[in-house]
Amino acid sequence: MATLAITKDKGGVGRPEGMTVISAAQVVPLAQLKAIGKQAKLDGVVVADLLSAMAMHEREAAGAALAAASQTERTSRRKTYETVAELHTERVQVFEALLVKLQLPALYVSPASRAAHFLDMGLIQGPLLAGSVDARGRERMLLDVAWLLAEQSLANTEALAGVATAAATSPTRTALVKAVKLLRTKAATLKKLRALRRTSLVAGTKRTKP
Amino acid sequence: MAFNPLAEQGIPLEKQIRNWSELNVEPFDKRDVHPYTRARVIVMNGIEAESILFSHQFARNTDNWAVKRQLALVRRVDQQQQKAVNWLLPGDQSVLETTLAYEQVAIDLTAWLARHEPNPYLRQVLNFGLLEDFDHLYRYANLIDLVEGPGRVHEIVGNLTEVMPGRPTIAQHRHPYDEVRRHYDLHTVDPLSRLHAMTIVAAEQQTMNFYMNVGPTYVPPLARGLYLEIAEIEEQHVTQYESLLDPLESWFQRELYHHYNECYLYWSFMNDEPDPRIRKLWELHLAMEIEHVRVAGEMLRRYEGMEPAELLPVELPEPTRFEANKQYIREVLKAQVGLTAVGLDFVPLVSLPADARYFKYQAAVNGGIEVPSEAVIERHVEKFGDDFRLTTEGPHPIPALRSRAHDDSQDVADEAEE
Repeated sequence: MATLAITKDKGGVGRPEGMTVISAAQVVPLAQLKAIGKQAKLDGVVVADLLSAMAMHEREAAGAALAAASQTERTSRRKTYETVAELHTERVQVFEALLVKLQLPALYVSPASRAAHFLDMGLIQGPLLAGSVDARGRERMLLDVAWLLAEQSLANTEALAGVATAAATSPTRTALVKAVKLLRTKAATLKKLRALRRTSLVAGTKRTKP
Repeated sequence: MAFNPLAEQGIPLEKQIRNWSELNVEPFDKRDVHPYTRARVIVMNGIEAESILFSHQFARNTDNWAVKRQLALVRRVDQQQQKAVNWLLPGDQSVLETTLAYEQVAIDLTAWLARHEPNPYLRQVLNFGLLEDFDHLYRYANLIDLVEGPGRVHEIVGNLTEVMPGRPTIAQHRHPYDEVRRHYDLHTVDPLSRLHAMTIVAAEQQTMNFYMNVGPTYVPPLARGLYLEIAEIEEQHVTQYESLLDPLESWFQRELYHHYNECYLYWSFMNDEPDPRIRKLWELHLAMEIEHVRVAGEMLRRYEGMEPAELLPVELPEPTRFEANKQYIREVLKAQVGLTAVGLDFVPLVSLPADARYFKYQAAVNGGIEVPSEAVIERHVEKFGDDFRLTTEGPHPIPALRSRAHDDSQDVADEAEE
């Protein structure tokens, strides 16, 4: 079961950096983070932070897709967004399972996760400007948000594949390779958003009857 | 006594608008009211004002008609709640009497929050501010003696809050860079810590606004000077406490948390309120806020795809209460009166190097002039032979702040006679 909103009650843990304060009992020790990179000859802290950021991105993307589904006035789009939301949620599960496999908490929130959360929130809050665009523009805005988040998901998968390739033979590498394989299985659905956006934009430019 | 606003039925939003007669409530009698009833009124006024101001800021950051109109409706009800609450204050309660009550709120609310704050850093921030507000009560108590005559302090604060020096106000003026603090992380924060931070921001913000506006309504230069000096410290406190909030929380989430905190405090105060009429008001407003939580949750679901139940705890935390914190404050005084802030952290004042920005700022605001917070004590000593104190638990825990030869508890006896 994927967790879309991380809270203390659900087991949220993290690593404070700069301005953030996290109670000692909820701080993941650096040694635990470093350990995942040891055999793989990677920087364990960077890998852990990257995975947690990618997981956070999938959570935000799932929320954005659900929000788009509730806001769109087009039935077919609603179904697409719901499917995309399910897919992002499945990807959250993949990342949470990967973190656990690497002996880290599933709900680890790194400084990089906070940054990913913030960047995605910028997109998700796009509909706050819905009052100065027409109905078609609002639909385009919703689609753009879902598409941009999906594009990042696809790019994250390939980046993760690169990390797996760079890793030395180790349980960490094995786990990364397996996760990438899972993440790639349903990439086609996310890629469809790119095609849908293209079709929608082209259709929008065609002159309507006077 | 578990309570979950999400599981409760509130008053439908369209039925929440009240007429002028319902809002123009009969004020309490300042001579009869329990000091903590007055304190609860002041806190809830601040909480409503913060919710309203936040909603206005939110509205200024969106042109989404559906969002703006929903905010406008809920905000109008919050405005009505604020009127019904703040109009409980009686017209014969002077500005200085209200000021004493504000400081009593600042002290006993902050002390309660600090005592129950789970995070050590956030607790330290609260303790730091506590000693400063504690000193403000002492300065204003001396001012009211001078301006309105003796007997006023005990009538307002009762024997619930001691009046004596805290971290001296003159020493509280720090460079703005040293007022910023770290913040909690929304993914790991204890729900109670978030409520604490929101509550103290609202309380200090309303104190800042109050002093900013009522300060110049006094004629005596000493009173005008003291209000402006302490208003500047309240600005420091708002800067400090607002730093605790995680900026990663979205507009919609913060809208939800504001109403959730209102629910929490109306529910908390309802349980302790001895005045049946005012208790009914807390109950009514709780029923309204349950609906505001539902409405905010709906917006969160629609615009962020997030279920409010995913963010909120399954039940409200233990209630926030007003009660005497005398021993706790004395312990904090003993341990922390000598602290100051450098950047995000607290250090002993004596550890600062001579070229610290603290001393430059001190010289800029205090240098070569009569400082109102010191002058008010000097005037009191000149007029009455000593400063005003109200102590019930023995002499001041810091020997250097025991300024007089006679027993502090004499003031209590004097007050009782008056």
